[in-house]
Amino acid sequence: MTIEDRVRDATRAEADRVEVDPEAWTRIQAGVGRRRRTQRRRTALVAAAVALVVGGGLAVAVHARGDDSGVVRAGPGPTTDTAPSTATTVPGSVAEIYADPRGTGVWPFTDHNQVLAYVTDPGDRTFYAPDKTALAFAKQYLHMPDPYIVGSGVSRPFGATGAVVRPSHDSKVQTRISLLNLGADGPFTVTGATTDDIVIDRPQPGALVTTPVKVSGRSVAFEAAIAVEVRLAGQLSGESTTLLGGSTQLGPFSGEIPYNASGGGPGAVVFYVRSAKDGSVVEAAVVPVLFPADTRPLPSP
Amino acid sequence: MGVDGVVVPITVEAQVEALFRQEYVSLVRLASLLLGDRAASEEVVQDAFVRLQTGWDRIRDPQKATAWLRSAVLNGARSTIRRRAVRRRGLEPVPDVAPSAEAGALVADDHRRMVAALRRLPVRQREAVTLRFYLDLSEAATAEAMGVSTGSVKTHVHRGLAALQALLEEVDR
Repeated sequence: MTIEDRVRDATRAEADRVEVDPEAWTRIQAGVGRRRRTQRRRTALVAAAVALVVGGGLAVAVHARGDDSGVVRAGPGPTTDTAPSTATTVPGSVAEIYADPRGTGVWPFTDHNQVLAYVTDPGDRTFYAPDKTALAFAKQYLHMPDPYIVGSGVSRPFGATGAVVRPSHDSKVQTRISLLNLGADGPFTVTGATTDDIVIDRPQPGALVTTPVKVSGRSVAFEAAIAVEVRLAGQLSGESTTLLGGSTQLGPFSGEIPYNASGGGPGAVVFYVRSAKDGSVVEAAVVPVLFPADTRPLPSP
Repeated sequence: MGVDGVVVPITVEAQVEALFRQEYVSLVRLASLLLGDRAASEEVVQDAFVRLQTGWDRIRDPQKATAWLRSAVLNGARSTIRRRAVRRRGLEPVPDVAPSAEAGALVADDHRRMVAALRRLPVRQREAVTLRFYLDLSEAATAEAMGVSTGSVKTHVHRGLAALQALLEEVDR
């Protein structure tokens, strides 16, 4: 008899002597109940942390003021160049932040109802994975033709997550995508994106903006050209505007981007660098902003 | 598929219960071979089922739930062994081989000696040998359960069997 056969016989004989607990299934279900209660408590804690972070960020944004130099300084008043007539309230509780669309990021969710609809639909699970969410964002929001995720990571328990995307496997240009986990077991949402070739001074993340949106910063791109768009609730509002920065090294750019939209809510200002070869998007910076509810399209001249 | 072609949604609990009926006993026995303690083995396996049910959404391929459970049980058993090692640090290992006085129990004695020797193997060798020869898993399935390469499985099994042989000869002497 080989040693393998002896092991086989001995382990099976020993295993056959083991009787199992007849109440095992009941104990497992009790354990499931306990674990779910713990998860709910953890989710509430994460939500509270998000409320603190986002609320704090909004408070800074609301009380910061931009001037003509493009430098944002702390002070009274909103970041808008034309002050909104409605007061901006900063969410002060978990319930408020979950009811507040500003807690849902830039994409794919633009309001809380979309998050609820997604989590209650057992179909698509794409946005439960940060790398898949980042990849979908690069394709569908930034319109990169064949993006490639270099890596992603999650910082628990607060759900701060990042993913690095390249426009293709052979490219070295990178866009860093920030994501937020909406609850410990919830889906991810994109909260912004940065790249080394576009450094944005204005608008600041979380700023309240009205049309035209004033933008400034430094960039380096083919023929110095970067494209800037305003997105409201994920949709392009107005037209893409080309601004000129640096062509061989970071150079300053500034401009005013008009947009056409009624109603307010979360949105973003998106800055692109396009490929010299085929004009496709190779990298992008995305700044989340807020549009006040009472803003109306500018009257035609 | 339900009556008249109506699709009946299967709940997560129902799917986990089906797996429980199919795998629970085998997994407790696997854990018991690794740990030598039924109560601790049940605890490890029950915890694996709890995590499976509460994290079902994160199991990318439900077809692989059994493999996931096996890995979870191995991880749980490893943690239990580590905790015990900390508790027992400094104590002399207790010989687990008690030759039977009954002549008719020679085969049973051989089995006990083998299992006792198995439990003295390093954890990875113990897992590899148990998965390969108790569960009759392939090298690839063993590698998947242990989270290592098939090359590592071959090495662990080879060294484990050699160590078992040596331990048994030592006891026989």
